[in-house]
Amino acid sequence: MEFITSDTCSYVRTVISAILPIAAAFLLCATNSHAGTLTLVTTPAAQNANDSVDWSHLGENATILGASASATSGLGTDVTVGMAGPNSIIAVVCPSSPCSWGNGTGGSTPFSAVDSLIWTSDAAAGGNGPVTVTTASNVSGAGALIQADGPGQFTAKIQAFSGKTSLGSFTEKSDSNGDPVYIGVKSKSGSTINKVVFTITACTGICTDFAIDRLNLNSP
Amino acid sequence: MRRTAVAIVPLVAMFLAIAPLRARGQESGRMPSRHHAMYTVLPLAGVTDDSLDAAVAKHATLPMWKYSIVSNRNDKKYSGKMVGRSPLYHGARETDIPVFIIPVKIVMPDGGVFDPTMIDNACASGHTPISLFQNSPILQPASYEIGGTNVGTGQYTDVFQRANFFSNVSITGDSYHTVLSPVTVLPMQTFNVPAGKGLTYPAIETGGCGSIGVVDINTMDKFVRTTLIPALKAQGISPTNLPFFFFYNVVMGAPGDVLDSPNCCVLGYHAATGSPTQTYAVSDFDTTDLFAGISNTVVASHEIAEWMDDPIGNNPTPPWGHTGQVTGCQNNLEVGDPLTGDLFPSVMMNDFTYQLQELAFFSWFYSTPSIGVNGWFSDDGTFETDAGPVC
Repeated sequence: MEFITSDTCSYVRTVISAILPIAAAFLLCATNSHAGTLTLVTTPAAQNANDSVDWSHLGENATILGASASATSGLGTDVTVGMAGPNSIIAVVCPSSPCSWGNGTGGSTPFSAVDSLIWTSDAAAGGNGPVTVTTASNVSGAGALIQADGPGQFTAKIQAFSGKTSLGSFTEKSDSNGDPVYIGVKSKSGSTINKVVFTITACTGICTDFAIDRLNLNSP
Repeated sequence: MRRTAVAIVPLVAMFLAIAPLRARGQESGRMPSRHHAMYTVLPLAGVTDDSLDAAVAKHATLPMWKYSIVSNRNDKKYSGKMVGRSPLYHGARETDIPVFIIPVKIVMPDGGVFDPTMIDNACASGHTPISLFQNSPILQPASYEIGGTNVGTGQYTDVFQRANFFSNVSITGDSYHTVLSPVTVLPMQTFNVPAGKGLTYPAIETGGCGSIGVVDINTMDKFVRTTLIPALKAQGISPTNLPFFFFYNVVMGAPGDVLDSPNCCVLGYHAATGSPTQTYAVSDFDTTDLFAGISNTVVASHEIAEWMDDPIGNNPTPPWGHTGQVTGCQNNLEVGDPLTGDLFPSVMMNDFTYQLQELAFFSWFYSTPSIGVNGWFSDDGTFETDAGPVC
């Protein structure tokens, strides 16, 4: 796996501090409150979440979703999920029965059978990604397992926001089998995140067509 | 292969000459009691792959999925498109394809009339052909076991597609389906066949049940493509659905053909035209018993399965042949052609016995081992290996 961070904090820090040390100190704080405060998380253990949203609350296997849906985390945070259009479905991971998401080769981070995924397929042969998750109150971290519908390697992306301000984004490649990857973010600045966007940026087939497992949250 | 190839002339030159059908009197000798059924395809022309892909992405034509495979029959790579959602991907769900059934009344220049909406006591058990078709396993779900394996409940072509990719779709239980839905039957259309372009053969001449008509296929397709499809747009026909033109005991011949000509008869075809691409199919509902291995919904099962697995009519395969209706070699993914004349076990629905055609699996065309149900290469097990060395 490899990842790329959009953090240009160190470059900004060097340039600005050479020009105007006092202003630089001020700007450094501002930068750190955004991109510089995020870290990429690639395992559920590293996420160390204390809260989660289980998509089974949106319905049983094959439940058809609208363009948006609402759910509540275990600790009571209201969450809104937005997609590009309607007709995504809740897909239970096989070999549970009924199920509609084959788990493939498994790999190091497979979805667990019985888990309910949001699968962003549409009614035709396309997809409804990206998936935007908005929390009613700020959290300090969020992440989920994600897998492209098509076979083979894919690249996942997560972008975090505070209101309309992007706090930064990260990408992560799957293995060559296309097994699910865990992608998440944590804030170094406490509960600053109220929106994360999950995207597949490279894949076999249609990249708007993917599935995400339960949403892990670091709630206050 | 267990079956013996049926000797039928190659399906070539169906759309070449412009000549009137010959008068019956020009033919000598008795009609054979059984004729050879054939099918054809009119592939998409003049539309680039990129243009078609863009139309699929914009939902301006049918939902289609793409495959790419290196055939171990010749170690070459082949790519193609099928209707619906990929059975090879992780997710499995139902894809619905709206279908419009258009009954077509055919009036021959010699006065013969073939009306699929009229009750036929003698040959259709007192039903109308269109009602039999509406209640058939082509459009109604049934449960199927293939070689002792439960492959699910669905329309015949849906279940065929499940069986075709059963190694993949069985992982997700009953989730993967490609369904003709909703089904809309439009008002009957009438085709007055021009003089010299069609003939009627009364039962007394053929020995079949009821009369049969033979119409020039070029004339027929021109009427479908340039008259019926444009006229029916107002009633919902569009590139995002399947118009299915339904005849009763009318078959098609190349220019100059009569019923017992070597090239006669084409009982159905599927086609694709334009951008965004409109696909369509034309099918006889046969109750004459004049064609070996053909009765009622056999033709529809052949054409709809072929449309589903080769909607554009040009999915390439390693050359195969000497089986079914193909006496020479063919190199496209027409799942019915290699088994023309072979039947799938009949299905009884609504007190009527429906006949369906056995169909070849994806793996028969491309590779061993089979990803089809039971490791088979066709949905009734006639093909026990792939198509073998390239033809």
